[in-house]
Amino acid sequence: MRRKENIKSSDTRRGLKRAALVLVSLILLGVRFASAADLYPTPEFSNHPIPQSQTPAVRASWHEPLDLVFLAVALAAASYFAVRGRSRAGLFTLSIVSLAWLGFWRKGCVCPIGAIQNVTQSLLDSQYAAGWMVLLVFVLPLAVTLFFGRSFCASVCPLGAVQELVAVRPVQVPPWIDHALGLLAFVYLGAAVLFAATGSAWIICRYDPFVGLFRMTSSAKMLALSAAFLGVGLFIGRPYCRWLCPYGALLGLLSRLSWRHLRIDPKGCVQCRLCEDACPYGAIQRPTIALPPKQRLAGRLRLAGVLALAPLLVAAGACAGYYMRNVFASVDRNVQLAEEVRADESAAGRAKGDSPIFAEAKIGTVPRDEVEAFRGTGESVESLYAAEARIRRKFAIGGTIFGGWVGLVFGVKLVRLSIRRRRKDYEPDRAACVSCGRCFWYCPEEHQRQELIQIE
Amino acid sequence: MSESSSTVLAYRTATRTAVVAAAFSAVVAALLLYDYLDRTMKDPLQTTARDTLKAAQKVQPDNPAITEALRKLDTDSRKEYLREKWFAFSGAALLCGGLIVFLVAARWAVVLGRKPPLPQAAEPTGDWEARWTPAAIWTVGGLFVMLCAAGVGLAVPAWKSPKAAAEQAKPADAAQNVSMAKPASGGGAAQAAVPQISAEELARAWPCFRGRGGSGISPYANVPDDWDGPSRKNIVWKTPVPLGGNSSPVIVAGRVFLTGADEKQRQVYCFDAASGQKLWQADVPTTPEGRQPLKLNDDTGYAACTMATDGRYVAAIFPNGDLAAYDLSGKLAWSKGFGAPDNPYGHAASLAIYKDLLLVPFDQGAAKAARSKLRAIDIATGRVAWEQSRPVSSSWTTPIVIHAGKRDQVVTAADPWVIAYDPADGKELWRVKTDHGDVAPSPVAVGDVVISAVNDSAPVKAIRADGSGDVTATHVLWKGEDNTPDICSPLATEEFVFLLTSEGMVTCYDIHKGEKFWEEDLNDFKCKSSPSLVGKELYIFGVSGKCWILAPSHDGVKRVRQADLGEGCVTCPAFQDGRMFVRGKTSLFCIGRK
Repeated sequence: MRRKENIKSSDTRRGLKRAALVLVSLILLGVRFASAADLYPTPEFSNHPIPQSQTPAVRASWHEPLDLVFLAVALAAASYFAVRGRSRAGLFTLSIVSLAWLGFWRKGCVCPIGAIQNVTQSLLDSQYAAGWMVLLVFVLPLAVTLFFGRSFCASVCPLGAVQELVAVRPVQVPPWIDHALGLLAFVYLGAAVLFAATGSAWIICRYDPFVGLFRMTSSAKMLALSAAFLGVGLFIGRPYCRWLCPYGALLGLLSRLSWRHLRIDPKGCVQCRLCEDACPYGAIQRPTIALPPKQRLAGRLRLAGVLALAPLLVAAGACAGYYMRNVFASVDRNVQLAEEVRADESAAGRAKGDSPIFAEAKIGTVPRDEVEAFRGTGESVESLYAAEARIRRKFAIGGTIFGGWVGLVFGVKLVRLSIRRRRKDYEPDRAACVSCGRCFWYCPEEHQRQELIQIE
Repeated sequence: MSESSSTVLAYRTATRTAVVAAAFSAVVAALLLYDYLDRTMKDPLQTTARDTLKAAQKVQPDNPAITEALRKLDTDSRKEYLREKWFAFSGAALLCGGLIVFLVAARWAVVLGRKPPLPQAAEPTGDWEARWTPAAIWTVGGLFVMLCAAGVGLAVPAWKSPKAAAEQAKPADAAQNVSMAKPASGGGAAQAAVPQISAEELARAWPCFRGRGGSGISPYANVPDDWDGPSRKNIVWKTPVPLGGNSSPVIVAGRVFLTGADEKQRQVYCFDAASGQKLWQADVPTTPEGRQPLKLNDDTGYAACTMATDGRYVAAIFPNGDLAAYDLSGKLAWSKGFGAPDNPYGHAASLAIYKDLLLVPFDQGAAKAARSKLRAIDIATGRVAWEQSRPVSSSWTTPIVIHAGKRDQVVTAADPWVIAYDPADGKELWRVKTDHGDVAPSPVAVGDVVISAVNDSAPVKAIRADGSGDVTATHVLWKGEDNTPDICSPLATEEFVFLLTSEGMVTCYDIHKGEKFWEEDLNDFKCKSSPSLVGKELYIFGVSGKCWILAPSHDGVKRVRQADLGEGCVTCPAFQDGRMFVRGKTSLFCIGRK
């Protein structure tokens, strides 16, 4: 095997190109940061005219179809680069374009990840209907995944793109940890569906760790969370995608069924083992070998054990979910308001009015402004309490289902871990592989395809 | 220069640039974080100068100088705000720049330094998947257990608070539970009409911890000094108290009031002073602020604070910060919650009373945090008449209300100040620096002299209470170093100051000069109860329930006898004509001649 001398120089040029793209996107980020603005109370004792609040203009109607077109084109390009073109550079460039468009320009909304909540609520809440645009945004990446694997994760999702950019020195996480942590995404998915189904909260959007970066406006805690994810992401590739992303959990399921999926090798695996440690996301599966009879027997017994255990996990999860129903319900705004009104009524009933000093002391425990705002609506306390009771009942049912779902996910995972599938070659784990194309470079067949080497 | 050497040079350049950029970014991020914390800890609209000017403007709304000063303050704060914003903006820009350089250089370095893939060493024998699958199964199972445990852990606090509306399936009913707050009545006497309190009766009351002025001195000398619980000698009655507590009795209009509590409930009891019959008891409503689980020292307990009464109402406070007042027939007048104070052993400071104002000490946290407060609350309505922030840390002392220096004063002791306030409006009158440390003994006073013994590592101080401002240098009459107490409060008379340590060492000082007259070791006699004076005899209860009766003089002390309650005692007795009321571990005793 003879290596061409121009590999290093081509690497240098490729590195510079990528570095330039990173620079451009991060400059955009810096500009967004610079334009962030805070509020300050209006002046007192001044004749300064207070400017009227301006309502921001509604988004232009052409944005939505344009976003959809961009999404479709980007998905097509990503699928091409991953499956046909086998171009890591193409995927990387596309991820930067997607980050700029869907992330910084469109500010991370609408995104398919958050659309889980739109779709859930529109299915279960007759008062709410998701628009056709949202439905398409939700469905399109799922459909593409059925054909070509997780092309959306590869270079279309802005959350994945920003993590891909910062993954400077990714290390491999042991597979036994990786498999366990990957279940958290399903738990998160269940929780997001639960809260959206009850109309209580859209937790995916509320706790999106990167949307604050895209919009350059967020609470300090969320910005700190973003920084933490990015900091961890320097050394652990795509932590959010792998272990938390609820949409990634769905895409992983569908990707198992994909018609054509990214391959490590362009023609056929020669079992050179060069790609063994290539994937920082732990998505390369090695060939299996036949186990001795004793180990096979132990494996069968283990499978029988986890099959028996799985229903117990579902039951235990359901019980725990039911037990937590009030914790879940406390996230709902109406429940919180009912609590505050109840506390206020209780205090007012005991002491006919506090001094201003005491009222100030209680700020933070009882947000009186919200209670006063509620009273200003003219709605009766009884109707608020009735709404609270309805929500609590929803969470009693939903919490049980959610707990059962968590038990089911863990049970199925245990069963899957106990079932051995035979593999002859090095293959991507279709559920875990985000089609980033990092493994291409490690395959000698790929080098030959690009005529970087010649096999004599 | 060859291509390979230029690549090496580029790699080195990229690596070093990345390191420098990372260091630069870290420094800028640290400065930004410091700036953020600094900004969030101050509120430009909540300054003393601003408050003072706004208060002045309310009094003189047409005074242009005040308005102009306020405008200037407002402008200055805005300028400062803009300056801080510029700082944050510049820092953010620098941070972005640093991070961009770091990322570009780091990625460049990674690409340049990437080694061509080489054949791996021989694979370990056995199947790759079989090597980690068992560990993965255990990890998955462990994670499920952890998630379930975390979920149940989150749910338990809501279930623990029995009246939390969150746990109620019927919220309307839950609301009723909280707002009703009706006391449970016990016995027919509870329904009897509330007696009108005469001035004479009020004068006979034992209204707060250690009686009027917190002196611990009985107004009656005809209290027996010889009793025995087990044989019921001179025990007029003995009544069990439903829930435990370390609070002491207060007495008014022939009724004895006590508190009791455990982890789940807080109660107030009223007993007939003549018969010991429980007239009523009431569950103190749990406020929203008081629902948090408490961390308490066992010695403190859930009902350590003694009640106070003005003759019309009795008030009780508990370590969770819940405060409630009842009329003498057990009807809840009001309640409110301050939330559990930040106190390592649990709140134990008792209430005091000044006319119709309930004085509520609420010292907590470190002195620097300035979270400690003294509030005066209208005992009839629950309105806060005034509150005063206090520059002290957590304490366990009870304020005393005295008349000294020709004025009424409420004197408080804590770490690091003894401070006197005007009880009518809360204005500070004077303060004296004390030594640092936990402060449990309450101050006492005789005439114009306040005696403060803060803890066993600090001297007892006699302070002339007619000063103004910080009088540490001018008004400390004397200091005593020997046998200073750590828990028990001192007792002061016109002649003597008695100190009692928790190990049972009694020390007598001259109140005028601070000269130590004598000390008496009661020999392994553990004490937590503060001493009392009946006639010329000191009553000193030990934690065992035994009580030493001592006859002090200038020359020494005579041990008169030892009486026995028959059960443990850490509380202070209350005195009435011919009667002494003292709380034991489980019962309330009335001691007197039958």
